[in-house]
Amino acid sequence: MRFSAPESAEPSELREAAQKMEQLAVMVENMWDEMPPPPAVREALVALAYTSMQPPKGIVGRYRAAIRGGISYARIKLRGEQEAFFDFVVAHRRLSNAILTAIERENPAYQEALSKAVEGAFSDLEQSKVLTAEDTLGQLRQLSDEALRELR
Amino acid sequence: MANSGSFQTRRSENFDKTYKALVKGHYRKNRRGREDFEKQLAGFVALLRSDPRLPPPFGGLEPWPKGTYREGWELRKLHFDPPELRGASGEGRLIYMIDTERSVVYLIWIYTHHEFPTRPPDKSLRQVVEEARQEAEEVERDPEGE
Repeated sequence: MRFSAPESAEPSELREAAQKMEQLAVMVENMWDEMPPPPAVREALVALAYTSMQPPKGIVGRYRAAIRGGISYARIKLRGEQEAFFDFVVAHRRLSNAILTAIERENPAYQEALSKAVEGAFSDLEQSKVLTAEDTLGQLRQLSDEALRELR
Repeated sequence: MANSGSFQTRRSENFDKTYKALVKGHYRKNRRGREDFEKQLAGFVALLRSDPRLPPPFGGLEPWPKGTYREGWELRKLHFDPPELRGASGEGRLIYMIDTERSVVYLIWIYTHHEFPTRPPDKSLRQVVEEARQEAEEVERDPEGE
């Protein structure tokens, strides 16, 4: 017996969820500071980002998550919704990034570190080192080695 | 103004410093993870060389800190998953500037979200969402809060 994706399908819940998530991501990216009350909405978004990215705990947790993931993906395949699933994953990723980025930007330490990075780079442009196509990996390895030597 | 094609990539002193801090903090005792991280980052640098303007969810423009904007430059952030780091705190970010006239990408800062965490509230997600829903309904009923 062979399963195949349906040739035409109504907009699935998965696709609708992906579209809503994408819209929410754009809203967070552009309007986080102006987001209307209540503040609990922002709190809920922050909780959503952290919770949805939380890795499963312990071997049993990972095992369960792998099984649940496998079953969910099998269902998605049977319904021929791989494309909608891909859109969902991308939208989820965009939303999580948008929320975490908004959280970082609100942190004064982040703004301070960013200012320092930008000002430092502008004041020292000529001293920056070229990362050549041939030797990027070599230079990064060298930096890692230096970092580990500094620990000794 | 160069849109895409061939960009030169350079690294600032701050990039070197923060790269080393990341390696020390996350890959000190994990050789395989460190090697994968180096390869991953080298791949991103190659990508930035061909097109530094990555769309969401991979990257986007970052607002300039106050008083630092320069005409002809862009400040951008790349989001990535460093190998063997998990959860929201393990999310990686690479901050870089583009000199659009000279087609040069400057890597200026690399870090993980772990450096700027915000602890989620001590409530379950369901509780937080329910409270948000109730508050939203109240605001809808009485937008002026009277």
